Formats: sequence, C-alpha cells, structure tokens
Amino acid sequence: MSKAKLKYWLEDIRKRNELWAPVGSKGAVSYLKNPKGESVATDFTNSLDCPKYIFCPQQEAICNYEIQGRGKVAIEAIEPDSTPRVVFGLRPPDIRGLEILDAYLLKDQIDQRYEAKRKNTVNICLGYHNPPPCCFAESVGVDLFPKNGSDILLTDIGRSYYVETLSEKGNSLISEHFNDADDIVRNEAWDIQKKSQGKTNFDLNLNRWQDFTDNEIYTLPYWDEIYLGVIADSVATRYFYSGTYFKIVDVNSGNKGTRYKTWTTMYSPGFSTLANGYDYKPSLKEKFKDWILEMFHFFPKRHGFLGCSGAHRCVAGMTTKHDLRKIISNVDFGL
Amino acid sequence: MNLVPTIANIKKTEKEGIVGSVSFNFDGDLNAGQVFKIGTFGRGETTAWVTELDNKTVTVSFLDNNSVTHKIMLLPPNECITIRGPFGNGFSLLDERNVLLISQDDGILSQKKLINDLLQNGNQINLLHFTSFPKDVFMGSSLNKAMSPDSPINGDIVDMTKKGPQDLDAFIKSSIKSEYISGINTVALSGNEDFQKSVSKVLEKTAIKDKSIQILFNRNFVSGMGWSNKDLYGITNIWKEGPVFTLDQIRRFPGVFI
Repeated sequence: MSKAKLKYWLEDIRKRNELWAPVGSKGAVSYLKNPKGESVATDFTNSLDCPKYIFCPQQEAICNYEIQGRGKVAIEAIEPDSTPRVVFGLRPPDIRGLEILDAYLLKDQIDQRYEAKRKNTVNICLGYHNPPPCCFAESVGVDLFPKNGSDILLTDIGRSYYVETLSEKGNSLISEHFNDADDIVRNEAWDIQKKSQGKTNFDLNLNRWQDFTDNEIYTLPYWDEIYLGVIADSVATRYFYSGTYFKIVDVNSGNKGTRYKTWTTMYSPGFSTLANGYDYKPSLKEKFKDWILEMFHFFPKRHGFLGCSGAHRCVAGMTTKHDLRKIISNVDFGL
Repeated sequence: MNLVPTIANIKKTEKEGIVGSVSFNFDGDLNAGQVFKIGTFGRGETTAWVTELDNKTVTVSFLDNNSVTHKIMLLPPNECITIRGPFGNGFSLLDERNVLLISQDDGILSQKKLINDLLQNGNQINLLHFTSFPKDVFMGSSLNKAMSPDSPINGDIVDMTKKGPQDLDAFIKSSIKSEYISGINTVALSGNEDFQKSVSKVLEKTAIKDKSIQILFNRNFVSGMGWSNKDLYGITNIWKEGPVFTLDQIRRFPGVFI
C-alpha cells in the first residue's frame, strides 16, 4: 500500500468503525479516537502512554443507579461495549502489552468489558523498523515484526507499506487501496524485517534466575538497595501493563450516579493497608521488588512469557532514575 | 465478572465498640473467613467478614472506621446496600475433633462464625484471642460469653499491651501455654502477618502438622479483577486460592514465614 493512500484507507475504516490511531509529533504521541486520516502519526517510535486505555479505560462505567426512595434503588447495568473498533499503529511492545492484559483479565476472573472490546477490535501493528535506543523489546521475547497478537502487520519499506494480514479480522480490512506485492517488494520487506532483528536485544541475564528458588530470589540483599532511586509515582499506572488492578468509585449527582471501575497503582495511598491500619507492604522496597519480580519471575511462571513489554517507558519515564535493563541484568545473586 | 452489585435490604445493623454488623438475606452456604463487598451507592464499597448465617440471613461485620461503613451504620432497616460476593474459600475444620482458634484483634471477625459452627458440630474448642485494645476488645461480649464458665470452650483473652519491650515471638511463645496445644488436631489462625509468623514459630515446634494449621492471609480485597502484586504471593493469588491457606502452603510463598 502506497503511503499516500494510507489516509484514504484510514478514512474508509473510520466510516465503518471506531478508529483509534496515533496522533502527535515524535516525542508526544497518543492514540486518539477517530482522528482524521491525514493527522495520523506513523514516524513515531512509541506513544507516551501505553494504549491499554483503548481496551480498558482509566474510568469505565459499571452501572448507573438512582436512589428512588427508602429501600428502593434502580440499577441500570452498562453493557460491555461491542462497537466495531480498529486500532491502527500499535507498536510491537504494545501488542505484547495486550497479551499481558489478556493474561490478567481474560483468565480466571474474566473482565467482560475488556473481553468485548478485544473481540470486536482489529489491531493493526506497525512493525518496529525504528526502535528507540532504550527499547529492549527483543530482550523480553517481543518480535519487532510480530506475526502473532495483531491482525495486520505493516512493514515500512520507504515509499509504501508491505501489508500482511494475519487473521480473519485482518482480512476484513483488505481494501482497494492495496496492490498485490511482487517478489521485489516482498523481498525488500523481509530484508527490512531481517535487518531490524537484534536492534533491541539487550542481554538481561534472565537465564541465571532459573537456578534459584522463589525464596532465594525474593530474599536477595540486592533488592534492599536497588529501590533507593525509585520515585513513588502513581502516574506509573499509565505506563505499565503488569500490576494492573482497579478500584471502585461512585460519582454522584443528586439521587443519581454512576459506579466506575478505575485504575489504581501500588503507589496509591492505602494500597496495602487493611481496615485495621496494618500495612502488609509498608515500604517502597517491597512494592518495587514485587513489581519487578512479578514481571520477570512470577508472571512467566504463571503464563509462560515475561510480563514486561520492553517498551522502555519506564526507562524513559517515571518510576526510577535507574535503567530497568541494568537492574535486571545486574541482579546480584551473591555468587 | 462485570462488577455490577446486587441490592440487599438491611434486616438490622448492630454496633459494638468499633465493630459494625449488618444483616441481609442470602441464600446459600457460607464459611467463616469469606468476605462480601458491601457498600452504599455514592460512597463506594468496603470489605465485610461473614460472621453469622442463620435461616437465610447472613450477618457480616467490619471495622466501622471509614465513610462507607459510617453511612451503612446510619441506615435504618429495609434501606438498600450493595453487595458483591461472597469471595474467598474460608476455613474448613469441622471434621477435626480438637480445634485451637487463635485470633488477633479484628481477626476475630473472620472466626466468629467458625466458633458457632464448631460449637454446633460438637468439636472441642480451645480459643486464644490476642487484643491490642484490652478496654475495648473487638466482639468482646461474644468472646466473654464464649469463654464463660458454663461454656464448653477453653479460652483466654491475652492483653498484648503487656508485651512491653520484649520481642513479639517471645511474648507469643509465653502466651500460648501447653494446655491449649495438647491434643489439638487443627488450628485456625487470623491476625496480622507479624502475629501469624510468631504464632507459626510456636506451632511448628508442636506435634501439629503444618497442613493442619489453617491461616487466614488477609489482603486488601478491592475489585477482585486484575491481578497485582497487592494480592499476589509469587504465583498464588490470595483471593483466588485463599485467603485461607495451610501453613505448608504458606511456606511456599516467597519471603513469608521462611
């Protein structure tokens, strides 16, 4: 597909679906709803926030209520949103991020709202030919041109995109704006995909972890010091997929109101405080250590892949002055 | 799970000290150690422990120390509250003959129903309640009744303010006398983790097997949706597989009771 035709393709998609696409300049890109085709960004390395809010909004209404008198309350459940939706331009770490959210929200306790959105959304992945220097996606097992997890994969080959449809949902977006790729184009795309391999492959030394028990890893003296540079910042919830959890909030107006499910973080006040005032994770050390071990040790044990997207948002962003890659690769096992 | 609560009409509310209780209709079986999320629209939700189930009426109890519980305690009978649950597995020790119940402060909320169930079942009960508030013991009237001379329960209320500067482990060890432990088949333990850890150190030196020691691992249950390091211990989700675990299960939790 010629790059010039991208905006027309997106306009076509927008007519039939709710379109989410990246908008902004290089350093500050966010996914917005129904942007115009010409304003969609394609040359960014990564969005500022992880786009989990498309599938799992920061505030999601659960039900409306009306207090009608003593002993009478009317509840109107808000049904899961099944609007046909297309998300354009997800970068490979965010495809992994959705897999992490799936593990949290589609197993055991199924979040019906998240499930409905996932089922009715077509994901278009923009392959990572230009990962930023601090990205470590391949280190955590993310393919820069993933053939799983998205419905369509676009490879930037300069003047045009090489389009691969990867699922039935992806096939539904095949358009007259596409031309059949000949062998030259196909080889060019494969060449770009091949040349990109290894660009984000930072050795995290995770193979060393296998030789130690959960208790041994959890009680390493290393964790007693490494948290010192951490800034307890609740904004962190916008940047991470793992450690996703929610609280319930009511917003009232007179005798009517809405109950919401909202994001919250381990840094939120009262995160681990019981009703009797006892705090079972009182220090930043425990919260930070648990977050890291959840991503790199326990999540993989439960789900078979790392709970980190390698998107580098934590390195570029908020929670620590340290580099997470170095924290992980330099774990001191006291050998 | 879609988080939409159901509505229950309050049958009655009661308050003893800081402990509030509310009763409503519930059809089904419940165990001590299970929780409901109860709330009022406009204020949100709070966690409440199952303390009684009688003729399809459940009573749940909580510490009345936040805006949600304050509002609930002001509501008259027939007024509406929201409920979700029950959550968690709860204690299961009715099949054991001689039972030792150990609780600390509001840990008694998770054991009150257990005491009644065991009494009805004819089990031999030893009961030790450790209190940090000797002048206002949580559920004090129920505890005093349970430990009265005409009650079959052999028990004591231990004043934790007398611990003084001594180590918690040493204090717990001196408080759990051999008369409470001898002949015991199983133990139910509720309290803060420091307390549970100290009690476990005493129990592991007795003949009671680790798998016969049931410990309620209390966690700040919020939505029940999404997993976080808040309610995870390693690969165990407290509110999926617990909150009641045996000591041998807890020994596998990293960083706990090592």
